[in-house]
Amino acid sequence: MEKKIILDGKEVIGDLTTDGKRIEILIKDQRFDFELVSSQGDLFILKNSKDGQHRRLNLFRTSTGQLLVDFEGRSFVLEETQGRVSRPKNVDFHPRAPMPGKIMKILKNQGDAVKKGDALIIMEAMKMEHTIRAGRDAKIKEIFCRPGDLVSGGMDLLAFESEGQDES
Amino acid sequence: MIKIHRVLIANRGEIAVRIIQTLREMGVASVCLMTEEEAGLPHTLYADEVISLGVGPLRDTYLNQDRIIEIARQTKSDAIHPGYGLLSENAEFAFKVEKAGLIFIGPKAVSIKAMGDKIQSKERCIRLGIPLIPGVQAEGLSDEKLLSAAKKIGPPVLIKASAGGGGKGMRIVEDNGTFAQRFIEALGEARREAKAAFGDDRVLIEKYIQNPRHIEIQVFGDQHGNYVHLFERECSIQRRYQKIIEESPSPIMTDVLRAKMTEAALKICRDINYVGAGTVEFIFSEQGEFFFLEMNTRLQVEHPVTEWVTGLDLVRWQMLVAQGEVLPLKQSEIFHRGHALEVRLCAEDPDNAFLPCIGTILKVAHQNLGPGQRLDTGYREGNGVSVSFDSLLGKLCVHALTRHLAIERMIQALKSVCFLGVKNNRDYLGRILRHPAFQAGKTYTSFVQTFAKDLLPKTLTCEEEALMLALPILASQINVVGEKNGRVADKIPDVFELIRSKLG
Repeated sequence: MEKKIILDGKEVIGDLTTDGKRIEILIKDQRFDFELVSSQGDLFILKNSKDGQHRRLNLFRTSTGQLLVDFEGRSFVLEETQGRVSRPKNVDFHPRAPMPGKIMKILKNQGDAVKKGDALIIMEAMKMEHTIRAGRDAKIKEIFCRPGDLVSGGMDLLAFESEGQDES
Repeated sequence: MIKIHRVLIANRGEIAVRIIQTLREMGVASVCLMTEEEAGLPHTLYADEVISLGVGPLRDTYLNQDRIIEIARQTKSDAIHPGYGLLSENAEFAFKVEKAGLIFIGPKAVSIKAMGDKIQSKERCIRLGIPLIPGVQAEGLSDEKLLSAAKKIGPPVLIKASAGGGGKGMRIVEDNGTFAQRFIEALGEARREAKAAFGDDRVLIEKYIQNPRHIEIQVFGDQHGNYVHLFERECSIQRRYQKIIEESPSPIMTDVLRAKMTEAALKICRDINYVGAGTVEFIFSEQGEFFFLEMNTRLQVEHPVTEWVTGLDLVRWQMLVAQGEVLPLKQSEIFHRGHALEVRLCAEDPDNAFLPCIGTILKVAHQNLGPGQRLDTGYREGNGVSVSFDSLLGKLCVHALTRHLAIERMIQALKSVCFLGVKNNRDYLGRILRHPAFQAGKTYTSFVQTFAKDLLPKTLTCEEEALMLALPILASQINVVGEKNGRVADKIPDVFELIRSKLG
């Protein structure tokens, strides 16, 4: 699918497919294939299948949805151009759509208590299924999507009760 | 001899943190100052005691001499360390500190005064036989008189506006056969330009130094009449007349030249009975001449470069001297080894006239620094860089056996350090270090202007653009899978809020 980003104010367009571990990108008639070798926190190691070389990237997401990138001694500011619903402030750890796609199944109901790591929603994006999991133990306050919905990348899919309210 | 037990640091940021480190080693307590907007900055976290100066402009906070001396008294500090900048070269402040019965960790007020006055310090140099850039004040002189003065100085000659700055009202006249005619023309042009720009057509003329370098000598004196030098630093790479890369030794230094320059610096120290750390700055010409520029009567920003090559702790030496001790080493016991480099990481935009930038530092990374690499910084993740203070985010310093190895090490170190969230000059510094002219030691003060085009950011390759396209997917996965690592900028927890919620 076509992917568009704004990189330091400049538009970059390419075609992107992924199976979660490998990412294939077609840009200016050139094909690149990266494999996610390892990641911890904000550090990502991607291998270019062409030369087998690793690319080290530090990634940081700001509250406004920008990505700050540190790569080989160079820093960039990256923005996605798809219309995204910005996250409401002061609510954390809400499961979000990792990329634009379609909601396939909703596995939990409003009011359910879930454990960290529990599967919540299955969505399809780039011809693959993605399981959206809970980032922490929580109680589901509201679900914002229904099966069949088309969602944009970064959109909140459901809301948890805020941390202090779980027991009330 | 006095023992200092508690030091008030009349400064902030990285230099306050740097001073605390040595005080800790020496078992001396530290008192730091802060303004209300600085809560959470490292110097407010590491000091043994922190006193707030409230809010307001610098003159009410870090430049408020009486209040700072009052705080020193209240906190039972015996000494004040002024750091660099702010009150560090303020003779009036040093005098007040002395008068209050406190120790000023720096030279005597009279020395600050003697070297702070440009005219007075230059007159002193003339008396001591230390070369100054030949020149004359043009005020009240006829064009003919000026021309004969210019001929005496010898071309190339620089005409500049007395009120000037920024290259306005500035002309360089070279010797190409018609020097006299060209000089008179340029004089008129410079005067008209100066009049238009500054409303003041006074000009001065001086010898134009081609391909100048900035070379400075680190000196130290104690209260017993001992003086030593700690070799030189070259700080030619500058922008907006401020240093951004410093190194020691200078790439052009020879034993003979070093002997001459250090002797000139020490001559000044002896003449003013200088006590503490000081730096004598010179302009060095391509023809091998050096000219006195000024003396800084304080610890320099770039002191880590000297610390690397000598293996000494300059802040400790300042403390020892302030306590009335004899300098720990004699000149013959001081050596330099290898090559050290420092770069100044600044919150600024190299693509936009190096204008300072402000914002919140969302991410700081320096966990991969290796041997021979040192970062002095006054910021942590989540700290704000505000307009109230200077733009220095940190100083990255490296030490290696040779200049070549030091450059390699610095290029690598720069990749391990990042301050994301506020635009800064890290990438730009990397481009300077990789430039062939820098690597060849052709470090002139005009470097940044000369190679402005070469120093522009490289456009990304196709592969790099492809890589960037893949990033949003990775980033969104941080939030889904391991939300614990998905740090969110505006979510820096309000500690008190947290405590309240726990109590409630």
